[in-house]
Amino acid sequence: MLGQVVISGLLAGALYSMVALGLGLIFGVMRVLNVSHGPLLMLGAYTTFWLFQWWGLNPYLSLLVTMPLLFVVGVVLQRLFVSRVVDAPELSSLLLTFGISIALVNIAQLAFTADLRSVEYLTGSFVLGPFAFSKSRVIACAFAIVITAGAFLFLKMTRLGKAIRAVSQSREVAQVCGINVARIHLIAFGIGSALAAAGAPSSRSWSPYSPRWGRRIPSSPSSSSCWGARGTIRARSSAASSSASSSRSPRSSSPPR
Amino acid sequence: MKRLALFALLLLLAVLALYPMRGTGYGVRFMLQLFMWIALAQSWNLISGLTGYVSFGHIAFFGMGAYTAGILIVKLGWPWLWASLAGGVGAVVLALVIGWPCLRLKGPYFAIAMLGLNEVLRVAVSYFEGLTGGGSGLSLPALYASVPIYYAMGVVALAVTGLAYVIVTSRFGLRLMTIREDEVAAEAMGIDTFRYKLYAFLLSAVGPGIVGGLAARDQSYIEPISVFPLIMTITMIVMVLFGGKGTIWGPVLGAVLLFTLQEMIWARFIYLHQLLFGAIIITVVLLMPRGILGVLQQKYHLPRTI
Amino acid sequence: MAALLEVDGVVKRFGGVTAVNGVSLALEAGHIYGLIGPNGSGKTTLFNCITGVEQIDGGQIRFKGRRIDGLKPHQVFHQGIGRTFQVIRVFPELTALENLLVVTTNDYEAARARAEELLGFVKLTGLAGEFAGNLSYGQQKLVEFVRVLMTDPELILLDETAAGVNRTLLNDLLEAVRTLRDRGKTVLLVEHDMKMVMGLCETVFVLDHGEKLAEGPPGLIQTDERVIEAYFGR
Repeated sequence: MLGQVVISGLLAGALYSMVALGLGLIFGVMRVLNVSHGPLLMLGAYTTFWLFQWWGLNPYLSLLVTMPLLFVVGVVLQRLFVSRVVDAPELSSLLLTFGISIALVNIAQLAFTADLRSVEYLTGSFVLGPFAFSKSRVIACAFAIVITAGAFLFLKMTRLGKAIRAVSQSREVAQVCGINVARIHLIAFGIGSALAAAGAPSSRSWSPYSPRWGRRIPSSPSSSSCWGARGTIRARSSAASSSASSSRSPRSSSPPR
Repeated sequence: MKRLALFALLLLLAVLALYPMRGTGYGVRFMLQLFMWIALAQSWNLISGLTGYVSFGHIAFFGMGAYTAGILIVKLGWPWLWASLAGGVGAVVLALVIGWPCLRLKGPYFAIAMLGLNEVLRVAVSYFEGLTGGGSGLSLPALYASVPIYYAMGVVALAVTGLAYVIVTSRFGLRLMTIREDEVAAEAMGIDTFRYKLYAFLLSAVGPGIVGGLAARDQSYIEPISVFPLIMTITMIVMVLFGGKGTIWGPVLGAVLLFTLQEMIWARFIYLHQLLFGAIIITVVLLMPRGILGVLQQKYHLPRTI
Repeated sequence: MAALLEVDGVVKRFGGVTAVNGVSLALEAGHIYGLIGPNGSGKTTLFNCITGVEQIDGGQIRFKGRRIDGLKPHQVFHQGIGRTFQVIRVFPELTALENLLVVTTNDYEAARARAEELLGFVKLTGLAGEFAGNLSYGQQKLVEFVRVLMTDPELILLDETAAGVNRTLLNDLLEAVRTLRDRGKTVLLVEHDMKMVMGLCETVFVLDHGEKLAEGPPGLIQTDERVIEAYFGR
């Protein structure tokens, strides 16, 4: 039983880790606490749902659509709203992103109604010895790991990734070195949102969801990403995984409300 | 000029005191809730408007007060007035327990810690199910007491506003403000910033605690989601921002305007209500972070006691 | 006679960098001291260690014979040490008068009288009711300067007081510092303005790369080869 719980926790942890990475990226680069991260995940989930509903698109393949889409949404939000509170005290960014999250959730509610939706795609489990792993969770975890690794590589190897890291360390110095900081902010918020969306098909293949659910997400990823916020990106992800694993244990069978 | 203002204030208080005799049931409940929001907003102002330390889970004190009072009423049969006062005490104790470690954290970390507090309390309530009724909530014996509660809420709102006035015009208040202006310099000038922050924090918990107890009595029912909602903290904050953070009448103005607006919208556009609220939050944060009175204060060099 | 302030082998590290490496100095009461050194030599860090803003990693700091390392800044202040900052730190939304009033814990009337006296001392009486944030740079510097004097501290640490200040104002400040010394106070100033240091200080300490390079009267320091090398290279 304990082993099962630990493994469930680790599987979920990979997922939270990826979402928290997005949050941590936004906080690291802009010092903005993005309370609307959950609703962004929710939007990704709905996109996945509708793609599945209308065109039968494999939820995992739909990542190819949802991630760029949410990237754009993130960029738009940043350009219109978040860019104005980048330098402001944390109260402003918290409130602003909270306002955005309420707006997103309620627009979703108006557009999609509050009915519960779910995507039935991969059912059944892999059985390995005494442990049973739900197939969808395992695939979700695999995806999460791949995407997180991809994000790491991006940040570490590519020029753009290095520019992002530079801005998160010192905005002024980055500016003086010729980096277009405003553009980096846009991109970082976009990537953060895309990472949130990436959590969608994976997490929602085992529970039904509705717009309100988007509001419950912020607590977990934000606290875990803030633990690691002062450290490196690696620190944030590991903090997220460990907190997810420990929080999952007593509730491993019940989905978030 | 000052005497005129004082006279106007007393007149207003007299009108409010006599209102329940002429007002409708709805009117009394409206005013009662307005007083509650004034008390909440003003209390938040005491810690966050003055010291700049954003308390993002302030509603926790409201919930604490509600549960303390609720439990005392249901399990021990206390009269609601004393139970509500005890709610205030409970909130202060909570503030002490939370503030002692958390006020040592800096800016964003304090905000997140307070955010987490809400969630912790919600879970704690579920955990102590025997005492609190857990997720299914706590029901109080039915009692129609809108009018006395109206007066009680009004007194608390008045008291907290009076407290704000006393603090802002005292050196204690000045020292709180130095924490907001420049904490390092304040420390260097001999101000024990931790102690001052703690005092402000404790004082800011009393109002919500008592008001929470009164609200519990008024609703005759409490459940975790209704007394620890983040949206109430946000509402408090937006009211203060809108009216003017750090001023005395700002929170009052903000509460009056926003609460009235909310009631009007809620009555007519139920579905758009929350969306509009989100839009209001965004507008206030982006366009008027200093608030109405804050802007006026700067432009016309108004005294700090505005 | 025991020194007023004894800095005894103080070490302060930030991660891999040792900002202060075993610095020792002693200040006697009633004198003006200077602390100079090239940028990055650890002067402000040493100030921060003395005033408790930074906790030291080694050594001791004693004030009037009692250890003060490990105290929090507000406690150090109450021991009798006041300081100004390199970057002006007045409280911008408080008036000039209120900036001074927040400091002392005496009864209000005495505090107010003293605040007004100090503002008069630097000729800012007319601006007592103005928000400190609206004052000019030089005026803010003066407010910060007299703010330190509100509780009559015995040791006053001045961090780059001359920075960005015009000649006239600077002379007023110099006079003020000399007056303090004559009244028995002790002043330690960090400065880059050599003329000011040489003209004002009785003893000068030189720091370089976190270590004390030299110590002595200004004339001697000016001609010390090691000091010249530290500032100008070989």
